[in-house]
Amino acid sequence: MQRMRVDRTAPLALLLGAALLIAGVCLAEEPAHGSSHEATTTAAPTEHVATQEPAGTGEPVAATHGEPAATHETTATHEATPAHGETADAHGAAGAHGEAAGAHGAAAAHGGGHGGGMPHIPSALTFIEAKLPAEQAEALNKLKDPIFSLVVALILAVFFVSLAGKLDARKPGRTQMAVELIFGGLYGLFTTIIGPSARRYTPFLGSLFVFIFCNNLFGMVPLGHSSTSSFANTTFALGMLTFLYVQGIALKENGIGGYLFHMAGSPKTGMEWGFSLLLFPLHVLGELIKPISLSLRLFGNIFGEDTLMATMVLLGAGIMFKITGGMALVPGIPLQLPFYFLGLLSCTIQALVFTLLATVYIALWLPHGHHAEEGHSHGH
Amino acid sequence: MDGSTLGLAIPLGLGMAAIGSGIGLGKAIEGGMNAMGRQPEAIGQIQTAMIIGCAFIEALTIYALIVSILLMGKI
Repeated sequence: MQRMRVDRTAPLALLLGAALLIAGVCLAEEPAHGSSHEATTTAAPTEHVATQEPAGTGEPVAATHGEPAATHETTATHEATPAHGETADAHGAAGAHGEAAGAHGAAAAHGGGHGGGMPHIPSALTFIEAKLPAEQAEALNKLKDPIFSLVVALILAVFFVSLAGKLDARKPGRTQMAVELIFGGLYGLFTTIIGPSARRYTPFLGSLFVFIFCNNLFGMVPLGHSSTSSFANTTFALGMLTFLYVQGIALKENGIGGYLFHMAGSPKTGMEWGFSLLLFPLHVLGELIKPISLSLRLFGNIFGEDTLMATMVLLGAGIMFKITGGMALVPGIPLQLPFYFLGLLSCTIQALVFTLLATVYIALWLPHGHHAEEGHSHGH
Repeated sequence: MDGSTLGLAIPLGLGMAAIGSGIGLGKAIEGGMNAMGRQPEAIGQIQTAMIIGCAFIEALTIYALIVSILLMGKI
């Protein structure tokens, strides 16, 4: 397949995406904590974060504030942080790192008390945190999602880069077949929505799918943690990345005049020109809401699924604890087993939905005549 | 509003949101299945459109879930 050889840019796109993602992660982290702590707490926590992430603080934090959607966002992340803090809190109550949880709870207490904590399955970092002093453990816990998404990105990048050299259409093997299956499936899917020009967007969209899918699955790996189960750190960064990409394509394909014309609802008659005054702000708002709804959907689904799994693990362990009368080192009943299948299904579908919606957003911005024409040629 | 009222309201609200989007998903999938049965050759396109629609319906429950997560801190 000639196509495969050309698409060696895909790993590069993935790496670039990962770099942007990490930058987004640090930016998303900073305003959320900055805004929540600036009045109440001392400079100690923020200072600590600053020493922990040298790359992130140097980046233009003001740029995110300048972004129209980001101002919407700070309130949302501000509210979302307490929930995140309490996951650590609940875990700390279980006895792994009581001190760290106390500090974390104090940091998150501005949300108004911390009663209902969400259970979560301990990851590899939890055991490292237990050995660290409270402040460092807290800082590490904040960086948990970036660390795990970086791990996934690195694994994927190394895997695909090493694979790209080995593939050869003239000597097809099992790997060749598997990769062609993934690529062909995704490419076919994008083609049915966008048309033949989907070729140009497949590297980005495909990387998006693979990255989200692997991140989702990482929550089910022992000692893993799915970074897509946090809003401010990963899914909002992904949503913003998609938003910027889609807007870039829209500006490139339509030109500035065409972009504004499309934003006004493509008016033709005088009546429609009149209505376009009303429609314009509506369309602008719609564009700004898209990344938020995309990222909220992914976050909600994966977070809900992880919480379900953790609840079942806790339940199984609790039942076993009752039965044995508190014996140490007895494994719990694997009540979470049936939910693994649900989790597998939901991981795939959510990655697919995110990618499909990104594809649809691109398709909506492509010039109309072109798109309709392609649509007809693909009808059966 | 005190904690015990919220403790009743959060699961109730989430359940009600789930009822609504359950009905919506049922309708959407019913339509999709019918269309697929009538026109098996267009299964791919129907499925794509159906999944996108399902994502939009499901998002409503997810919003309820997020609101309830935010309110959990106030119990």
